[in-house]
Amino acid sequence: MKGRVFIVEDHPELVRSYRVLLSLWDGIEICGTAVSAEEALDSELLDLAELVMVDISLPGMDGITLLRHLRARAFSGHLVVVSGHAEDQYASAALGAGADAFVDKSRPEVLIDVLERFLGGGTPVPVG
Amino acid sequence: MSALDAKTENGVLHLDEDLSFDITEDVEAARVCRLALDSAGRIVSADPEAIQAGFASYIGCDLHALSCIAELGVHAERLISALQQSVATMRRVSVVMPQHSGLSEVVYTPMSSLGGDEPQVFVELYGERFNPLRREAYQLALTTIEQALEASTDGYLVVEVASQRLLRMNGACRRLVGGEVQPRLGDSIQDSFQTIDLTGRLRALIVGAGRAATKASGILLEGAETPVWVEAEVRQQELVGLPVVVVRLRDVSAHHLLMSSSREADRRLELVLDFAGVGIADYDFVSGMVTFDEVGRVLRGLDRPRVTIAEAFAAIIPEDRIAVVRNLLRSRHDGVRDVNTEYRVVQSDGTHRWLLGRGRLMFNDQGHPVRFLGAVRDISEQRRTEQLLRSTAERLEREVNDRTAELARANQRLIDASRMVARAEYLERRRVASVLHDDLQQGLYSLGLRLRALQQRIPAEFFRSVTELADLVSSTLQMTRGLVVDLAPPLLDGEGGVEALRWLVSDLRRRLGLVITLELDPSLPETVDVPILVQAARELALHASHLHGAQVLRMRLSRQQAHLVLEVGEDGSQSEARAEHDAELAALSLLSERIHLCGGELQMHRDQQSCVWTVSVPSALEAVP
Repeated sequence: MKGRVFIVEDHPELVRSYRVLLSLWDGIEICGTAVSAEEALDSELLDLAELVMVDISLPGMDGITLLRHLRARAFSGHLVVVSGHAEDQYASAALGAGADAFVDKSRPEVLIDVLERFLGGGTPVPVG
Repeated sequence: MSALDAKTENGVLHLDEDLSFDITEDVEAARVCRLALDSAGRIVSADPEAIQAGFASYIGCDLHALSCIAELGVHAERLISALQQSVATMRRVSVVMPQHSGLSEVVYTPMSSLGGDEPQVFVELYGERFNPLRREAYQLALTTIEQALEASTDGYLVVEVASQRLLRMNGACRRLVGGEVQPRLGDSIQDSFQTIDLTGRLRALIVGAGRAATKASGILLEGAETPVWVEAEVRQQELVGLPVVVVRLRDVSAHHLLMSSSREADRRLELVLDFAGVGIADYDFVSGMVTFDEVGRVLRGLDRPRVTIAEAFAAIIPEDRIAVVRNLLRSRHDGVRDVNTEYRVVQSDGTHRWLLGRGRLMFNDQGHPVRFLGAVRDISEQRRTEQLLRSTAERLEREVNDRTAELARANQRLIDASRMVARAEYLERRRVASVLHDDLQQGLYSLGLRLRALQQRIPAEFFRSVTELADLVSSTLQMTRGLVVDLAPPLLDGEGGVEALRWLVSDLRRRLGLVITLELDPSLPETVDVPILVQAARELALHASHLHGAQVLRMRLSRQQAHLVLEVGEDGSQSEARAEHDAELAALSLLSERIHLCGGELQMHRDQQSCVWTVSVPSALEAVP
């Protein structure tokens, strides 16, 4: 896999876990992170990203609204919603707001599949 | 001989004024009869005149027997005394008799030479009564009177004044006197009327009539078992020269009883009026005067019992006077007889007395009121009692209202507190859910991600173990998610109760396979938000699924007056799994208690086929912040 990823997640530990997971692939670069939608929208790094991972539940503006803003300003990258809420309503809302994928946080393997689909396949880099 | 007329008119006997018998024209003024007496006073012989005079039957009798002869009467004692004197002295004794006795003289002549052992006395009785013509007239007069008396309905009796002996009495008198012992002719009236009180005033009346008075009335006779009240009227007459008294006895028992009853009724009425404090007022519109009895005078505060109508009305306080006059005039104008009115009069101490006046107007033949007869009663105490009752009732009503308002406020405080408790519970659920979601779940997500990352870099022999750990984390995460949803459905926050119910229906279908038909009252706004109803809907659905085995349910949310009503019902296809009623109540007790704390109630209706739970909560709960 190859590409720049921007992570919008308010839980630092989860951000660190994303980093650990994504570090398996050399071609993946985490170009930036934000703990809120507002911070993400203000970040210049966001536009560098080819894929944005967005949590729905965020302090302040929620992830769905952030998607709408990003689509409104013609963000062309992939938008992947990663949510702890597995309900259909959230998935429908996310997809309706412009998400390319809706991933249940409890299923990391699905997240890996989605990343591979959008950033290309590849075998994770073996441990050193 | 003069005619002895006797007749009755209107029950009153009228005898001719003069019943005397004039014998001077035809016969001697005096006749004599002779009796022979022994020394003991017994009649031993009588000459023809004596026999004709009626002495024959007394031969052999004591001279006292003469007292039985009405004509001698009370003079018998004098005659006996003279006889004894003559025998004792063996001298001639002459007794001059009073004129009314019918004898002029009685002469005793002791005769010891008649050949007997005992001396004898010749008695010569001189008097016109021994005149045969006079005797005949006397008997005729008595017979005539007797016949006349029998025709009368009043009781009559004829009494000889001198002897006070009963000469005649009619049947009405016998019936009137009554009793077992009827008076006999010739008896003294002293002994005749043992059953009635004739010994007192009537006797005195008869004696008095013989001497002076000729008429008297108002004599009272009583003494029988059933008292007989009679009125006696006496009239003196001369009966062939002998003074007699004709006594008319008239039965006045009925009148007396009536008068007695009337007097008794008057006494009772007076007693009742006194005890009842009722006064009487008699308004005479002709004279313009009012007459009060003593109670009425006192009640009206007047200083005299008879006042003018104006004075009577002046005692009424001005505020009530106009109403009383208007009431009276209205009755007078309308021809209403009975008048009731209440008014106040001023007492001497300046206080007011409440009076109730009830009376009746009396009209003359032309229809004009001429009199008003009324009763007046003091109702001051009643008025005070009524006022006290009114004030007490008002006070009690105020207290009840205050208490009711206080209870309403307490109830409202309880409802508010319940809302706060419900809200606090809701917030606490959300807080716990938030902690679970934000901390525990995120940690588990991180752990899951790390394990997935680790899977890619570990030797193959550890892959299986790490995979199992990752699966364990995943299942734990799913359990935690369910717990979070149970604690606080995420859509409850800001999306409204209607959307929350829709989500609940979807969630229960997805998680438990329950098929739920949701009916929403169109009048309900989407924003209606009562968390307790959504919680109740979820718990009742789970209850129906777990306890009844229900798979198909229907829910209906509606507004009924000031309440929001949620109905959760089965479709009746799971009756075999029906729980006992007590188990139902126990299982739902916590939910019922929470609903009750919110001012609502949970009801359950079930039959053989289905069960319906109804939750009703005040609409005001929507306003809970």
